[in-house]
Amino acid sequence: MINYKVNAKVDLIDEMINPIISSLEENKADHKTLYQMNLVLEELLVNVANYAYAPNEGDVEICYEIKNKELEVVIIDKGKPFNPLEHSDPDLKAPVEDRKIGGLGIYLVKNLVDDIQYQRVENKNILKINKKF
Amino acid sequence: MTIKERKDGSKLVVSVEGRIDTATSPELAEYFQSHLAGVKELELDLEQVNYVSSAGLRTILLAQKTMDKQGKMVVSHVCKEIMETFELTCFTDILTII
Repeated sequence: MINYKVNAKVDLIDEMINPIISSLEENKADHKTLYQMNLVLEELLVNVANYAYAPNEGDVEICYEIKNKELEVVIIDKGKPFNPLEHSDPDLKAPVEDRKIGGLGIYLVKNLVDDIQYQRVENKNILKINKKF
Repeated sequence: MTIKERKDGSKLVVSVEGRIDTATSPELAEYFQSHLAGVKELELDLEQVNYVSSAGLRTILLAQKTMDKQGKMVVSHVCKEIMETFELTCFTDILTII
């Protein structure tokens, strides 16, 4: 697994995501996979940057591996416990005036990956996603 | 991201170029908040937009809610990938995509 740490800040999202997207390109992932993983990683890492350590700062550790046309990414932070999978899906059939603005990012993530798992271990949030391409 | 506008009477055509993501959405939201007064018809042209994240969805939803109160809104030239995001989130039910 390739492993790196970045200060969990919204303006460093590209630095967090780009190594993974470059590796996917090297592994000849199709355009759709690249687009979807950009979206998935942005949504997850923006959550970490905005909420995990607020109002303080901290690092996010990113580990990833591509094997047999499958990407695995593990995102680890030492921030407040947050299990994105516990949150209920937004009501997508609500009329426009009732549409809430939250929850869309996690909903997209859940629908664009093949597997997603959350663990809270030793004061760390550990989120693992898998995507076949 | 850049925002270009063209006015045609009470119709406003807003052409966005680039990514509508966490970093750029606040600027677009601010634009909508300050430029939609008196607009009866809004066209949001996404021809030059190649990426919309959930922050972008929220901003587009805010524009739709504003225009529902004062007129109508259409979204034009949506690329395949962004359309997939609109479909997954059922934004296709609330937006008028042309």
